Amino acid sequence: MWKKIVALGVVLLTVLMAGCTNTGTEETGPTGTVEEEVIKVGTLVDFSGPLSTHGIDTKNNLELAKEDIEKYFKEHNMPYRIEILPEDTRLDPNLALQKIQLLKGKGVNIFVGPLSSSEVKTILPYTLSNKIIVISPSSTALPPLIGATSPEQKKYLYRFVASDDLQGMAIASLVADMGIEDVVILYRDDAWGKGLSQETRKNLPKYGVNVVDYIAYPSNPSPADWSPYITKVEEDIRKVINSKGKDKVGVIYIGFEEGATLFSQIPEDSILLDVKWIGSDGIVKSDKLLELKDKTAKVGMYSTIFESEGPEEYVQRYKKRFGGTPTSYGLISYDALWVLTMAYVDTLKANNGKYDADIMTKKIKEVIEKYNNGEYGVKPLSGKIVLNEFNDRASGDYAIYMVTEDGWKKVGIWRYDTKKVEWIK
Amino acid sequence: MIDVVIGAIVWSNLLVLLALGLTMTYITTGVPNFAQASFAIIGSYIALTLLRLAELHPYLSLPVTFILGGILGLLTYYLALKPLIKRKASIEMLMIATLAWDLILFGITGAYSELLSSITKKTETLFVFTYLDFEFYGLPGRLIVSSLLVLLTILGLYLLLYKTKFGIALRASMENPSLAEAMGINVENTRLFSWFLSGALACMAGSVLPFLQEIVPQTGYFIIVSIFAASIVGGLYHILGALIGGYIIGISESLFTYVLSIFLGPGVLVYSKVISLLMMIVTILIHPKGITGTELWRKVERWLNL
Amino acid sequence: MVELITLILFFFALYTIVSLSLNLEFGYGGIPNFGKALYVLTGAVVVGGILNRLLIWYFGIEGDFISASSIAAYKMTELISQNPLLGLGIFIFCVLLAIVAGAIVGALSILPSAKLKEDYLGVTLLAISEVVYLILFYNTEIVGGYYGVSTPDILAFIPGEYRMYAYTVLGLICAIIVYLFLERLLNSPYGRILRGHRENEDLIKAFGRDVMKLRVKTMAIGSAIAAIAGVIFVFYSASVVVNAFNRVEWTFYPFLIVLLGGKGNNRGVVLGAFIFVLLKMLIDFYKFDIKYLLHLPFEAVWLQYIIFGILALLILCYKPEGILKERPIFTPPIKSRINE
Repeated sequence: MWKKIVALGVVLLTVLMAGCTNTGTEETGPTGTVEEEVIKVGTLVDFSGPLSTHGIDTKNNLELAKEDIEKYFKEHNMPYRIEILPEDTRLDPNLALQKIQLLKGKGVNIFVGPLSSSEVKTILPYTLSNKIIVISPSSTALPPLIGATSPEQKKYLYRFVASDDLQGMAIASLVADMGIEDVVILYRDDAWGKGLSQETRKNLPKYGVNVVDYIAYPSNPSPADWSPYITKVEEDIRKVINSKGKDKVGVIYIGFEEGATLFSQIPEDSILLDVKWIGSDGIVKSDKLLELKDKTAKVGMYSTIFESEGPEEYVQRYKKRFGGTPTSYGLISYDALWVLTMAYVDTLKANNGKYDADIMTKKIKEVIEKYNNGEYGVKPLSGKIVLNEFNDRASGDYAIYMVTEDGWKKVGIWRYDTKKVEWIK
Repeated sequence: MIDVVIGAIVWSNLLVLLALGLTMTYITTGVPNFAQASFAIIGSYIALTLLRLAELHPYLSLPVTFILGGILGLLTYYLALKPLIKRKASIEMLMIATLAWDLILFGITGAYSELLSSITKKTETLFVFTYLDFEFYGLPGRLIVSSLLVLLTILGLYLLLYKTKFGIALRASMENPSLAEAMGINVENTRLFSWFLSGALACMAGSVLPFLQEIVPQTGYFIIVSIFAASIVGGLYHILGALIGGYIIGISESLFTYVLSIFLGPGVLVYSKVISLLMMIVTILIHPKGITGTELWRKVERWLNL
Repeated sequence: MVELITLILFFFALYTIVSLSLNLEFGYGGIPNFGKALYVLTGAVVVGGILNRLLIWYFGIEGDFISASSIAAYKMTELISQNPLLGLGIFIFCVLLAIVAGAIVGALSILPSAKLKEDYLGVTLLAISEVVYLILFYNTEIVGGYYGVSTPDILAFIPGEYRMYAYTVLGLICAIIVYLFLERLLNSPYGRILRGHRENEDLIKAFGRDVMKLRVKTMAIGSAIAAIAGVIFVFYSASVVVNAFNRVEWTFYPFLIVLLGGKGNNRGVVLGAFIFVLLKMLIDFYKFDIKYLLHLPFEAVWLQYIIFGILALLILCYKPEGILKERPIFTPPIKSRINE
């Protein structure tokens, strides 16, 4: 018995070794004439859970980015090819860490993802000790919450999205600008929802807005039956509406697309459809919410999103290929891939064809500069990329979208410089 | 408040359908089926496919999901369980086998959702049907349809079990398989029947579920807990246990949690699943056979003349 | 390549520890502990909830628990990088604490079994574990919930690129100690009574043994061991995030391993853990190549679940009693008889 098992193990291990060397040396391109170097990019996203829409969107945008970059390589006679290795982490930090290690074993040194802040937290120490370069397109928790107390700890982990403090400010300022004096906050009880709602809650009093109630709903899973939450918010709203009037009361909804289920369960005659609703980047341009526009258009769903629209032709191209519109996290992933691959190529050039993470971090800075200036023939889809000392997006304007009968419409913009809302007439 | 009640009833109705299957297969095969929730998700995807490709409203496609679901139930029995039962596997092995089967179904659902997305040019990993629902005198369609489904199922089961010869044989082999076998009843038939019905009911519930909540491939992992709680609180040894347990768990998850939140603040709302789990634990500790296993229930049963 | 082997060995060590503890309870003691994840989580709570609070108090850090943990963990990591003994000291301290905490939680959670039959006991333990999991997940005050908290890197004195290997070695050493301990334990009178209890409770009662006491003792030992695995895993990932301790990875996989390796045979379970981790990681590692090979129109991740499920079914089907069967007990008198 034992002999058999040992033999089996040996066979398996040999297969494994053989397989590995094969994948490692496979560098000839489809033409077979030019030796192409494969740039492997790991992607850690959610394909099966509550963020699966974003996971798939990320993957789709990366595919388009890959096409564009490879076209650039071809035009400039650069012998490189990109291979994207998407992994499903199911938002489980344990899996995220395992996958990053497995992919590293496959020779992957650069990653796009993970999507959630709790995953980012778990992989952060590993990126530092093993010098893995990671760009998360969507983790927004403030650095101390993901375990980074000094910039040194986040040396290799970039986040091309601004953290919650900015958006919290934008939402608070938006609410005040709409003339709302009392709000109820309904938020998704997870790292993202709590982080953003807390920042919003912190900023609201500064703009003279009073928070009536602060209600969490579960994220794991999100509720099947929303009626308890609807009733709760209704009660709160009713209390203040009597003294203030409908125009001065609002609901801030900080959650993802489960908001569509929430809205579908709000009765037609509910008081909730008489007040203004404010959303966040979690729902902007959501097709699911648009399907319910007879209700959502009534309340506006004024939602802030990191100002990054992407040129119209890109959006059209995306639509033709995959259907729907790219989300801002998706556009950020597109930019992330450009920055990663260009910096990777530069690193190889600067270091005699050998990869080095510390050179790469320097190159990323340079590449971002060039990319911002359009030196690669494209400009960042998500707007100019400026990072702070924590390697997080430092500043940015927030576009304000609302649901109308004709779909999501951009109605204003919150400027970082002035910290004020400018409405589009 | 009325919305809370309506929502709780819809969720309970679906739980009843799901728990019925779980209880039935437990009685006939002796294995708690961890893949029960995945049956429902497959049902949701069947309904979605028919909606997208044949433009069939999910309520109208219920007969199709019923039959396909039944086939899924039979496949589960034939592929995952029968080979093991033949080899006299222990109950733990059967449980683990249903888990492995659950993993396979999860993988298939995920792969399929991606295929469907590439056909429809929409992301199909996350979807709801709620916007398709109708209203009838102010009542949401999902309330009417799910209640009708439960009523029809109960009526059908009653007629089948108590008014036909096959039904008598079925009940006999459910209550005491070895005795029934000695009497010349084919126990295998009962198993096939229960697995067919289990899959069929679950898939039907699954095609109504997207009217209530968003569906992702992972949804099954979350709702399985409630299904188990419903079956156990009601009693795993009696089909009607699923009916009673389904309503108790379904109503306590939303209605009871809501009432608690009035007294303890909105922070309680996130713990709704904890409440159903605690009820399950308490039931097991006080009376493991569940409500349908109590003396009181036996009296009720005699009174109903069942 | 080296990374893959390291990863396989690390998780082999971790799953060996958890599965051996499950084998003690389930394989030898007949207790279907479907709440295993809870005891692994206990180990994590010891580090995230207790050690972190001690550190925050020691460094006198202000602020909310999660941010303060980040700072405390960072400061401690800095200290450890200068002083290896400190890191190992903290590790041993946490392991001891986890053993105590695990034993207490295990002993408490088995008390309901006084009234229950086996399958109900299993479901109850599963429910208890889910309840604790959900509360810890939603309440961010205890161990950071869905945010999680950072923990010190106890091997910070080893250069970054070698740290993975060091954790693997640490894990393997712990697994060996656990294995040796359990082998000794199960060859004692206690082990024999435990097996007797599994086969026939009444017989043990008739011999004047307290069945309840036996169960409490077994669960206490088993849970203490599982908590050690939790501690190792937390230090390895340098953070406690509650969703990492879900029922699939820490309850169902260990069950699969025990059934695969052979109930009531520790050597079989070790082998089972190895085969399980090897298969899982290999599928994970090669799924992209399989996808390209077969030109599948969907992502490789789905393939991984399907293949893994099918393999598990096949194993259950063709090795119903596990790879290695339970061995008869050789007490010294019997052994000397055989040798004669």
